[in-house]
Amino acid sequence: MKQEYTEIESPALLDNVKEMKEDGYRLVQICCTRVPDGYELTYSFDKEYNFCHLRLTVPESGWVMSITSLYWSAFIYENEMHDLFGLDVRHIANDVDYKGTFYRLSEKAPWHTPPKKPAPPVRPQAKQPPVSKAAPAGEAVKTTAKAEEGAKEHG
Amino acid sequence: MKSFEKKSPWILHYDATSCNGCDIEVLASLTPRYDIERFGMVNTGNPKHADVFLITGSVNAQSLPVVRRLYSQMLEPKVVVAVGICANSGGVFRDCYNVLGGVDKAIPVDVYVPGCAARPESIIDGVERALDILEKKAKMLHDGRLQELQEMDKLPPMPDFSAKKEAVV
Amino acid sequence: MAETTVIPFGPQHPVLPEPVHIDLEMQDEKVLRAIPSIGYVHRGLEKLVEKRDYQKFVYVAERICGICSFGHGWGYCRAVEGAMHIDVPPRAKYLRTIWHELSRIHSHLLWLGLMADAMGFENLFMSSWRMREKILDIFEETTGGRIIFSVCKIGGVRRDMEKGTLNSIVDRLTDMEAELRVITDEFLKEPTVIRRMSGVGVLSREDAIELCCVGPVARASGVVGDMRLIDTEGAYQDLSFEPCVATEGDCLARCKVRIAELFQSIGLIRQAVEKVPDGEIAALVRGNPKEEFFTRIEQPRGEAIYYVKGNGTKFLDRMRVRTPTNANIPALVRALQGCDYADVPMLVVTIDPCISCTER
Repeated sequence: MKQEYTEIESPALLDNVKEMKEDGYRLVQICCTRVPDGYELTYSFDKEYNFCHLRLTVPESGWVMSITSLYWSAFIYENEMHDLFGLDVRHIANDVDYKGTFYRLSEKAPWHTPPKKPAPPVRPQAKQPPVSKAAPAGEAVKTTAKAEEGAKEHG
Repeated sequence: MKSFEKKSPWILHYDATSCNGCDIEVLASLTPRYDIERFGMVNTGNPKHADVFLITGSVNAQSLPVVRRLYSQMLEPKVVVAVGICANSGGVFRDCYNVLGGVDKAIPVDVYVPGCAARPESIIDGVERALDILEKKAKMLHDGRLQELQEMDKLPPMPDFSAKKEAVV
Repeated sequence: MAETTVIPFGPQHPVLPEPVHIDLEMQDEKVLRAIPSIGYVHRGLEKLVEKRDYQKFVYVAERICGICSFGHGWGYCRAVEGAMHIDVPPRAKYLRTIWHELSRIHSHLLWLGLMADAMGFENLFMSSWRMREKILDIFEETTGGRIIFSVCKIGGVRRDMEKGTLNSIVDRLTDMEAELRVITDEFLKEPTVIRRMSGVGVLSREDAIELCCVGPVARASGVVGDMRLIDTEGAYQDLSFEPCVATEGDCLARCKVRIAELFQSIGLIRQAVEKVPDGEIAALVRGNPKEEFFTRIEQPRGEAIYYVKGNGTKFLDRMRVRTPTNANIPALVRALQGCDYADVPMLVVTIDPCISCTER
């Protein structure tokens, strides 16, 4: 099943969401994903089981407008995005703006750093066969004597 | 009085960042099939009334002060039972950024009950062993060794999450 | 005019199985405003996708919540199967549906017990949890675990249930059904229960739509929405059922909806056991997910969303879960306004919050 994501620009967010609200769509969720150059936000809506998504990319130093003026219940997702990702969400409704205290974590914005790509697997190098060099006769005899001694011990 | 502490221990149960699996098994121990009330155990909400602290869940930054506060509000003699693998060592979540990993970093623990989720039989067994330890502590109290007991049960230093940050890749 | 006081409710409270903190702004005994404070159960497990490969992450996904455990495992598997275009065999879909409906019965019985405990009806708490133990016995026989079973995997299920086992499940549920009817009728017709719950915590239909509620909370206010009606990944397309809806929107209506769903689930399991096809229980999984996918399932508490984004390696880029309680917290805040202080624990339990699901 192919899922459709409508790409929109940040300044057009409120207009697009207002259209959705006037059409009778229910806000389902807002998802934030860290991408290398910023954040990818997906706003999902549903009306009579018709599931559709708006996609918005915000640069790392950018900010996004809150939609609590249209969907009050968006405060849950927006406060979470701010606390976990460090994304600047502006103009959240006064009565539900937690100002960074929605999740009180041990470190601020733990998702802010983009995930490290795992290193490619390293194949172990094939062992090279030992390079044979002509050994002096004396040494070879010593080795043989030692082997004989060992053989006698183990008997 | 001495026999009442072992025969009717009151339990304080707190969920510190648990997935609820172990908590519902703790509550299931109260229900007719496992019925810990036949051992005289009662679930209370007041830390001052409780003898046994049943704690589930790996501890996070926000529940850490709550756990330490509840523990320090309990009166001697008291025992702590860490229920479930998350309370023992962090479980599957030990690498998460917000998880301390093991209640024993926050408060002293007397009995560790493994399992994910820990079965009611294991929980009852764990509490029974805790009661033996409680009896020894009660004896210390009645022998006038309160200070020694308080020293044994004192809180470890406040754990630091920043050490966790370096370990977590 | 009396001044307002702020009273903290939670995180440690006898009636709450989970830690949630609500600041109740009170005037005399009436609640003017409720400000929830969550974060006590936040583990940050979504970030673990960077360290656990996508097949092993099922074990972590199941442990988002112990009550809705199978639903989370299934939802995650569906999202990855959608991203990798894996076709799950029909028998696996039926088995997953049967386990999920059993999970729904177990969750609603658990809720009924907690509801009764919050009201002071200890007898019903003990009775419903005693019945719940029979469901947990079925789980243990078929999967090996009581609460967390690890039976769902990417591509299908790990264990099969034979015809004999399935028939014995239906027989046991039929025996339970008669006793459950007696207990739930007693509960719903009890005059004290009706007087305590009627007209309390009313959420009107307009409020439910505006606040984007899901699940039994929305259905009790007249908003018909049940993801099982459009579910193609389970067996629901072959089963016939109607969503349970009420219109009053108060605590009693929410109780009636959940109790009706309990019996509806028994009926669904009966239908599924008759129609379950033979065949494989898992599809072969090759390669790594490269695409993104959203999936929705109807968990006991409502609609849950699972989103995965793959990047071609065995570690996913992103995994997101939006659980039903996450969507119902605004409804909780609205329903608490204007109620009595003594009704707060009961109201919180009728919304059936699962805080560990919300905070992940």
